[in-house]
Amino acid sequence: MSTSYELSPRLKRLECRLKSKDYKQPKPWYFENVNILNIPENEYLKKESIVIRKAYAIRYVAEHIPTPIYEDELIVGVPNQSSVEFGMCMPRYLTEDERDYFRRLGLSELSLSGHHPPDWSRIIEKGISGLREEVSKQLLAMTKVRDTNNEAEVENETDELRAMLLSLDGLETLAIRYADKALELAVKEKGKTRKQELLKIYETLCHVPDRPADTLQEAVQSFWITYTLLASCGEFLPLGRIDQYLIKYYLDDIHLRRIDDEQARDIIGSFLIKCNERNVLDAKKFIPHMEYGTFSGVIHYVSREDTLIYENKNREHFYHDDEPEDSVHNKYFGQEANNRMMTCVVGGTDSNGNDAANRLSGMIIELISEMRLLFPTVGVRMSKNTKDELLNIVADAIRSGQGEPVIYNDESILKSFSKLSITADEARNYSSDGCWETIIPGVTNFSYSLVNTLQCLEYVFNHGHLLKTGAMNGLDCGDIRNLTTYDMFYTVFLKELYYVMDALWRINIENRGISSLSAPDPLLSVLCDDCIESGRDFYGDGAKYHLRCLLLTGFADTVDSLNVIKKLVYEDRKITIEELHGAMLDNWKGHERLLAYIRNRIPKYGDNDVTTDSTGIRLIKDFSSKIIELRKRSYSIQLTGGIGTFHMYALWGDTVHASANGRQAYDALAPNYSPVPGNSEKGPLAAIMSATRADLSEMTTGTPLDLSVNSNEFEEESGRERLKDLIRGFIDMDGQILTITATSAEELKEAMLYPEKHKDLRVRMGGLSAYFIQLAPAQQEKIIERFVP
Amino acid sequence: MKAYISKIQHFNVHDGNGFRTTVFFQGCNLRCKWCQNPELQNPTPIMMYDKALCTGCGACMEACTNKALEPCGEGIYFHAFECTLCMKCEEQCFNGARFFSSHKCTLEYVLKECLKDEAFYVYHGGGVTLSGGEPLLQSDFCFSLLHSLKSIGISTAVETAGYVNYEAIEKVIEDTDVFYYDVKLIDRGKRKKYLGSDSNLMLDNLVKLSRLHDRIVIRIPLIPGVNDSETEYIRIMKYIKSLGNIRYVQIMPFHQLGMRKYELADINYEMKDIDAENTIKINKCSDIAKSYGFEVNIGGGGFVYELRAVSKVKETGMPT
Ligand code: SF4
Ligand code: SF4
Repeated sequence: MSTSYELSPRLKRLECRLKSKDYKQPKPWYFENVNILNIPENEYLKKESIVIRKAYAIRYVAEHIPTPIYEDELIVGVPNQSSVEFGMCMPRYLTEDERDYFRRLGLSELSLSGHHPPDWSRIIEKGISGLREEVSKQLLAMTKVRDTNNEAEVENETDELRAMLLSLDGLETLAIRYADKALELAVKEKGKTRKQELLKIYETLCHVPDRPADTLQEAVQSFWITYTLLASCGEFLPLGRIDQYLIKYYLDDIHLRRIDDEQARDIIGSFLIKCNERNVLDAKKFIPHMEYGTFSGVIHYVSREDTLIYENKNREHFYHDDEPEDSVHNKYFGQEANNRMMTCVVGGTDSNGNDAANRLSGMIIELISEMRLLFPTVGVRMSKNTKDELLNIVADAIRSGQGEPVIYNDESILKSFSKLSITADEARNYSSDGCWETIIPGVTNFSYSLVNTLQCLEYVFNHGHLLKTGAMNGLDCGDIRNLTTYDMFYTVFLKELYYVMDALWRINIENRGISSLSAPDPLLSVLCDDCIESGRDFYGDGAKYHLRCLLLTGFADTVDSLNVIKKLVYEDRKITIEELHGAMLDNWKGHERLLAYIRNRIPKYGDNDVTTDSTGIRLIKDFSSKIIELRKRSYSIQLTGGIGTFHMYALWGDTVHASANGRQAYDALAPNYSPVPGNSEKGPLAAIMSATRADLSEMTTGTPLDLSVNSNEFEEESGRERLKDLIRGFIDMDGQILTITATSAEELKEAMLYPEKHKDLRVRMGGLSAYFIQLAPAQQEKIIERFVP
Repeated sequence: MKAYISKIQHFNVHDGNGFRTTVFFQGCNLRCKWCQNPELQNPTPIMMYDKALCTGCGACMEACTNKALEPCGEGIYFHAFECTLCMKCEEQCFNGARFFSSHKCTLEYVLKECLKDEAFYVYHGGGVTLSGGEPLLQSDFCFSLLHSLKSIGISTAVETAGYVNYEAIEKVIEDTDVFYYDVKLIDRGKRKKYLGSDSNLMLDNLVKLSRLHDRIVIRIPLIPGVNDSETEYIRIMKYIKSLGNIRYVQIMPFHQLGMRKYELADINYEMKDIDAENTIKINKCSDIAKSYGFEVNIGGGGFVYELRAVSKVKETGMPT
């Protein structure tokens, strides 16, 4: 049994303020029209290199950003945070000429992709003073060997190191300004307790991040003030393994009786609240600052001519007046307004492979779940050795219906890391990248490209054309009528797939590091391994590892389509490939009987059917071998694989016409590695069985399986045990990443409107489980009532 | 060996410990007025028709070579007497609008389906539950299935109303870990009225069974106005108590989830307008059962007896 805590009055007040006030207010952006070069006394900066100017921009932020301290909070720092959807705002530092030049490359000061958790323990454990020492030492060493080296390179390197020092100065300034503010408020404060707290904040900030932290409050504050400055300068940074960074301070504090568990919860809770203050729930109140067409490192589209379309800020990011309100784009407008890539991962092992889950792992999950916070998105690393105590907390959080924490199976993921040139103890430190992808904090420069396999299938049918745009994106492999066996068909499909993978790989290599030309980040670099030693920027060559991932997108729809083609056309010969193509082109209109047959009579991925699953196994195997081949051919990057769509399954579906699995034209794809929703009546166990059949060891980046379960099937003590069994089963069967969402009233309502999409939704009343859509409408209404809080 | 099986449902969380795979058998000799699986009463499969899914394509009619399906106004009329259960119509209805309540399944097939979730059985004694209908009407099949499962270490449960020859029960005693035994009514007059039989068979069989088997869970479907009065309910309690070795009682609140099946199977449903049992009453009955010393669970989701299957097929379970 886990111990369940009441939220403290402080946390209740903080939560209340957050939700009743912060979530409703539009948030200001600072430094909108600032270019530090326009400040007269900065004229001399024009002669400095870009990285030095970036450091000055960071200092400018530290010196000028407002430093509010709110009621009740114990951790302070309000970042000028960016939003994935609505952009970023920071002081500019490029000259007009430079801006023109970079614009042609799709670059600017805002070409920051985030996604990489730095090694936050560097600032917590070493402090600014420790980091400064490291940088200065390296600077000295470098100037000594000056004459023996390439002059220009040395200058770049010394500039990077100087920039690191300058940006650390900035961090110090920001801390001092907050300390000052705390003192000012303490003097004015009438309440005795709060006065003490403010003085404590003052003391804390006088000590950190300048020096190594000693207490839990100092450690958290050091972490958060550093995050504040980085995020105010455009970074989107994940929080990494926060329970690991903080645990020793917690244990020291408890051991020395400096604080008790309740006070620790207040400190951690106060910090978690800070992660949410910039959320605005009404997207219309959000003030966009998107600079469209800016390349940040994520490469999506490829066309025949290999010209890269820098569309990372693509159409999803703004409201389209020319389209109806419920168009795909408009419907999803605002979805990512609050996405700042704030994820964290708890649990897991230490560098020796011992279970490192601790008291804070559970506390963080509990607090996020109890306060129902949006961020950080929490993941938990588990294994066969995970203790029951943590498993209970995880199960309860999931049962409360938030779809979190995301479960990472250590064994499976570490096995796949071993395929890369990354040491085992580094791999054991993996965390998440801002979404769900696995990444090692502090050492990994990471980016990904989506490979939409359903598009590749469309190329096979249409001489390499994408029907929606008419563009020739694939290869013309001739007339499908010539494909007389399934193997021939599949070979051509692979040809299209490999063609796209080749192109994306090439572009990833060509573009590696280019964003560091206009948007280096010396402050991030100082928090990452190897950047100091090499004097290189993290976004350039500085990072220890450069991981690039090709993400197989549209897995379930592709596998189901291939199975339909295999069975219907080539095995049972019920229909010719040409007839199937015709029906797809007609978007199934006039082919209702065929559509019903495809939907209801052909087994699908997720049905726990060995023959059906073999198609997916084969696809993953062929995808993997291409990844291996391309990885062998690359020197500057390590290529990995993954399967996923992120939240963009609707958007990516919107690029593909009807597919052979009975999917309507431009309908959403099945999310991530999950079966097509509503396809299977076989339930979550079957989905897990199907999803764990393939060899996922090359899919290092991750293959999340998203399950929906009905929360009322997991009630009471026995329900919790069953949920734990589900998780254990997934881990024992070598599954990789799992999310479990309990059903909501909204979904039930949708099921009433679109029953065919919710065939698998089950409800429980009295002594029997029944499929929701099979109930009489009046009963459905009744059940929905039960879900309304 | 074959049996009429309605469906094999995976991931059941209310028919025993852990995750269960429940096998539903066709056929039952009782006619409980509140039955929520009315399509399984008939000893052989019956035709189901879902108007909402029917596109009127006529494929079923074309497939029927026995003139059992004939046009009738807008729709299609089904002459039950002409039907030979060849099931060609079902095969041709891709929309799933016309189908049968059960199908003849081989033992091998049922066993294979039951083992699909085998990997999940190891943790909390998950396994297979036979239900229906009345599974024990096809007791030879039940025996073979249960025996095969037991021989590879899988936990088994049988849900029964006990309205069968005692020999049928006896046959499966050895291979059944837990019996879920329905006790619906004691009052003889009411039994005649609501169950369609006033025979003492069910109650007598339970007495006999309880002498030989000590893992019986009593399930009481709580039906408004039928057995939820204090007098009747207490009679049930006293009867169960008199058996001497019953530890668990599960109260199964009345619900209307099966209402639609009456429509699909074209069977008259008399309890349409009865409201679901209310929580106050349920809790009260639960309290009474507790006062008799039983461990009570509402809805059937609770774990009973500390069972843990030790699977011989895959021994990877973590100790729990
Ligand atoms: S085949 Fe099915 S859909 Fe067609 S008329 Fe018969 S019942 Fe209706
Ligand atoms: S089962 Fe055979 S005989 Fe009966 S209605 Fe269908 S096709 Fe006709």
